[in-house]
Amino acid sequence: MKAIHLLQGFVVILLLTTCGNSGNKTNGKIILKVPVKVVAIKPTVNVYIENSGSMDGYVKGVTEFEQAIYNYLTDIKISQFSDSLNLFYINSEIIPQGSDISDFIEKLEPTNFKIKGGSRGTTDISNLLKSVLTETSSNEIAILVTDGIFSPGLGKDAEQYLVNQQIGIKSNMANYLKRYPNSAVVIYQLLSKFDGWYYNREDSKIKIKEQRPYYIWIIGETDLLNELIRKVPESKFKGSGIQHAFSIMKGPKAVDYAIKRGSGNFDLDKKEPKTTIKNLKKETRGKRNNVRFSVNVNFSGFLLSDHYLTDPSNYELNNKDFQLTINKAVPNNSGYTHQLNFESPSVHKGIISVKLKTQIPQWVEEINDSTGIVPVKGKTYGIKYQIHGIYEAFTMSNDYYTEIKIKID
Amino acid sequence: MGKIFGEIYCWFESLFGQDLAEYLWGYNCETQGYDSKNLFYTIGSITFGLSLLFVLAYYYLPLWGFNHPRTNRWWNWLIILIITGVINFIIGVSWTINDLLNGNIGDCLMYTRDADGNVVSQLIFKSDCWMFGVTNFIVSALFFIILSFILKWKSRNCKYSPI
Repeated sequence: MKAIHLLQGFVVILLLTTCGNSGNKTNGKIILKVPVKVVAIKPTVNVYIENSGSMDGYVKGVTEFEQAIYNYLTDIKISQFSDSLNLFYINSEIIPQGSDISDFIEKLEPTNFKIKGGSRGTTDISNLLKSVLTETSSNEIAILVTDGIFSPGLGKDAEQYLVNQQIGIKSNMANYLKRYPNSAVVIYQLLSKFDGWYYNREDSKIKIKEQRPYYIWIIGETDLLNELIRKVPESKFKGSGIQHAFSIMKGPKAVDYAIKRGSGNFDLDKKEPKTTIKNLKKETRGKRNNVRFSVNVNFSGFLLSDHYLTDPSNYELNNKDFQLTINKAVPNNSGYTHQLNFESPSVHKGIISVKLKTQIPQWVEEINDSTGIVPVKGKTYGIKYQIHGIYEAFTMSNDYYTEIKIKID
Repeated sequence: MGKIFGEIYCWFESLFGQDLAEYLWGYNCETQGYDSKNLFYTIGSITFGLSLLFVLAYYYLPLWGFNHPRTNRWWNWLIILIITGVINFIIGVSWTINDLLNGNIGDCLMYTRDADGNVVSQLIFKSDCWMFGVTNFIVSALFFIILSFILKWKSRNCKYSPI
């Protein structure tokens, strides 16, 4: 009889313990949702097309230049990125052209360039940029279309002129960054049919009919540029498409990152699981005999191409024993865009720091024409001085976009 | 307390696997932090509580054959230990299998995926849940033994059980 009682007792306890619910429980709080309508003020886009004499060849007849500009501006308009798009010619002065894109494109002809006036004889890119930056304020984006060719003029020391231009561009950009520190610059290089006069560094004219590069500069706050690029990506460009892209913004900027669990033989620290590794050991499975771990990072706040972000030479590690590779992150809900993979032949303790450096891509050197005497296919006289000027302005205080620190205990 | 329970369970982590252990520690795939409920604490508390309940019953409850001269042999004590262990085994298995089947375990703990998001391998299986049940049995037995030696001394009939 006692045994039966004992058994009954066990059964009661068993029922009490196994009926528990391991699922999520609500804490009884009621959250009242009040609808709030947020009205965002859309940015203004100001488009400046250089109409100096050296640009005439890009607008003679129907060219890829016109197609690309027309399509880009139309995409900006229909993407509803902006409510206000203003068009200008620019040389020694800024000449307003209204906001009718199709009319503006139709009138893109050498004769019209001449009629619109301004000093078309020389191109002072530093002053051109200064004019654009002066006109660009908060919640505005400036798009500058130029051939990017310096024209020092006859009898001038070309080398000295280029260096002075670089300093001028740096100074203008630095002043702009003082006013708008969250700004960024994107420069696209495109190609177009060119039928006209090429002006060399001494302002001598050479008649050419060939593909020539030109540039679209986009300047504005980083968030606005990010939004613009999201709505009108590089892949949507018509004409010859984008040949190269350079983008730069100020750093350092904090990014969200987290050690990827299961990416090696280690434990995550329970208090700091995103940044701290414990018990890091060599891999024991398979043929691997090294230490490895991966970090998921959200780089979406930067205007950098996937090509830039996956190139290990754009990163600086404080520990040379670790090898770094980068690939796109596995699709996730946390917003991580890239995965940094660290590998080392031995276990190291301490802080592993990796910096995403602000660098000028190699193609800038490759497309730079250093002589400026005759047109060189695919190259632009002095373009590297422009990009270096911009780069130096952005990297006055530091030369990296972000730093990721991982602690190994 | 959750950390202490977690450390004890993780002595046997090789039985049920690191991925299930991470889930039980409260790892959240969305935040990539340990901000979900620490189930080692919850399950460990139940295991400890049941062990304590059965130890107290064995040594001090004057009912149902507990704390009786006829049940003061070592094998009587061992039977109660095994019964406690089996109950905790069932709790451990049912809890984890329930979470596994109901999709409560985060995707990052459940699967390895390639760059396109396709599943490359599964990380947690039902067998891991069964092995967690075995672990809970062992942990329960440890609690039972320790509590027995702490609490037996004032028992009228069983203070020399198991030794």
